[in-house]
Amino acid sequence: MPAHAWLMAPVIAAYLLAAGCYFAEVFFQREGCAARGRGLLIAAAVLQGAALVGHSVASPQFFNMLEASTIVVWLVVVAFLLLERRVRMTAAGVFVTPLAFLISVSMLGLPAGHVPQDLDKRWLWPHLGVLVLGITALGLAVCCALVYLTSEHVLKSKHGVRALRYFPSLDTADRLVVCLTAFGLSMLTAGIATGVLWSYALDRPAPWTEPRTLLSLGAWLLFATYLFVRQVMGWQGSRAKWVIVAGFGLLVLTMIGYRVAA
Amino acid sequence: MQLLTLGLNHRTAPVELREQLAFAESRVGEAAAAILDRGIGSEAAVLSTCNRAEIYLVARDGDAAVPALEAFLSEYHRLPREVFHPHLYRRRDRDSSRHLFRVASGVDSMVLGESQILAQVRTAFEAARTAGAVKLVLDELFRRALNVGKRSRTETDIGRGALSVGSAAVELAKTIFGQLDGRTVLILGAGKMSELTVRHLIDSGARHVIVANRTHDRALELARQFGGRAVPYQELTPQLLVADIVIASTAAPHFVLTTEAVSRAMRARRGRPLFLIDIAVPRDIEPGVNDLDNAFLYNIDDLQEQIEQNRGERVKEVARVEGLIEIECDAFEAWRQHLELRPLLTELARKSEEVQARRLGEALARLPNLTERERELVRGAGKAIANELLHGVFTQLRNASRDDGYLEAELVRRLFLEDDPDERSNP
Repeated sequence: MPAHAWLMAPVIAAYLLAAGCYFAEVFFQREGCAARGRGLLIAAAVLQGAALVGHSVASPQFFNMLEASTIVVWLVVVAFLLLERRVRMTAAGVFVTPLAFLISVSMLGLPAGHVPQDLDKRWLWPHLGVLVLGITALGLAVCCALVYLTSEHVLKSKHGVRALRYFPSLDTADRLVVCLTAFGLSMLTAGIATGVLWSYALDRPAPWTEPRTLLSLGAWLLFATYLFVRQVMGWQGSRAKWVIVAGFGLLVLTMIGYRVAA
Repeated sequence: MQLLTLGLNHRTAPVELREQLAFAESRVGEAAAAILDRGIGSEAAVLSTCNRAEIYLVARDGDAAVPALEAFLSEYHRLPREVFHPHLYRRRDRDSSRHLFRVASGVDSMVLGESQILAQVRTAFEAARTAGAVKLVLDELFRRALNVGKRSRTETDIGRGALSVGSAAVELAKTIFGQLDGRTVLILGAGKMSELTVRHLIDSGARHVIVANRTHDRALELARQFGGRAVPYQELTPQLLVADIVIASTAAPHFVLTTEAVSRAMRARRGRPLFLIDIAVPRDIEPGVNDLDNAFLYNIDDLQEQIEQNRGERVKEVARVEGLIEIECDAFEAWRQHLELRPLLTELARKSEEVQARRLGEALARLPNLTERERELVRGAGKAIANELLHGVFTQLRNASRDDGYLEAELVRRLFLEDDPDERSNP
């Protein structure tokens, strides 16, 4: 196994430990834990970045499913760390870190170089590139939606209101969900469109005959519904956030389907 | 030189006495200067708030200073000493500095961890400094107190969490809306409690106020007070479409806002968040409102519970603040001990220079053939020997001063500064 692959073990361990730290601070009020979690996330992001660079140098074929997922995780973590500097977002760490851990673990053992050799690489980069950006934004959007739902639950139940100092206001969380979903959906649209065009260019069977494509379209539909309801009709509130969670769930199913097919 | 604190506060004296012994804010500097004019001490500062009146003093003789200060208080406030004497507390040296650090940190306040006291300590310090009543010791003490006050609020949670209904409402509103700038507040029932709560919200940025009250004149009066508008009580429901925060405190014996009415409003608002504060007893808003999506209802008990939890959290933080205070007390006492050594150190340095000049002068007089460079070398060697010897003595004294150091200081004084009768007879 190449050296950069070995780097992933401490990275995954750091994500798990960081998740524990964020949980301890937000739900058990253990002061200083989030700072440790942040330190672990920074270390993990640096190591994972190094692993990605090492891999891109070592492997002539870049951008299979494993690499794409690793980049998504890395981007989600880096974006969260940057966002946390600007907005009170400690609570989002509770959702970002397990997400990073679970995606990383689920991709363990996935064979590298899965991309069939007959594929036209000119389509691969734009297709996967926009999908990676889209899934990253939607991953962050679902974390913000979960932050909103948790915060709303605490406010309604009136238990543990003190923990809300780690949460952004409902208004901020809502605006973040809208922005991230809008960006993520546009990227997802571009990703699906390039995928369809790619299939036609290769004279492959119609993409909508594949369950993965159907799941992606289902997720797209849910995100589009959310944006329509939120932006055009102006509806706010928790129900709309559950649509985002369901949409991302479908995307995860798509990725799992890919893994099973691999 | 002793540091003294003499005063009374909300724990030791009733409000009737505190108000008689209070110093006007504009006159605290003048009062500190008046204490010095009487020759009671060398430095003084007066801290006067609604909950305390305290004098901080640096005096050579603490035992004599206390009755003199009491006499000053009696004369200044035209109050017999017997009236306030049993309510006074007296602190000395480390207890005195600890007391001011506790005051600045808010752990000695009536509302634990309140932040206003820090500004009051700063005002007292600046007034005394402007009046020329604060010099080296109190300057250092107050600077350290302000620093401890700041640190206790940033490094611990002693000041975190609202402790009044108004501030609890603001805190909750901020978790929903973020900034309150430009938000609209609807007041149902123009009671004193709702007025106080609105004032908190306005201070935090809320701009538009709508008042609905059974007595329209009272609604008009309150609306005018906050630059808002009054609406007839019957037109209450349409206002739910524009309001972000609703404060209900009517005397109605039934629910003024039903779940159905708010549900209709929430549909028309398309789920835009609505924060409802029900401080009326009996309640004005039907509890089922809290089950509506994006409607957050808090009644007086909910707010009180938040306040109690915050108070409990603050109490837990007291031990951490006391820890900070003890560290700062140690540092201040070390600084003060060092300060007390200063005359001895200055005298030692002076004596060393005097002996050097005398002995080197005698030696150089016996060596007339030395060149100027050689003379400089001899002078330099003499100075270096003296400095090296003194450096050791100074370091040991500074270290000893951390544990009182009186005996060491006395020994050094005898060894180096007391005249040797033999030397005087045999120069």
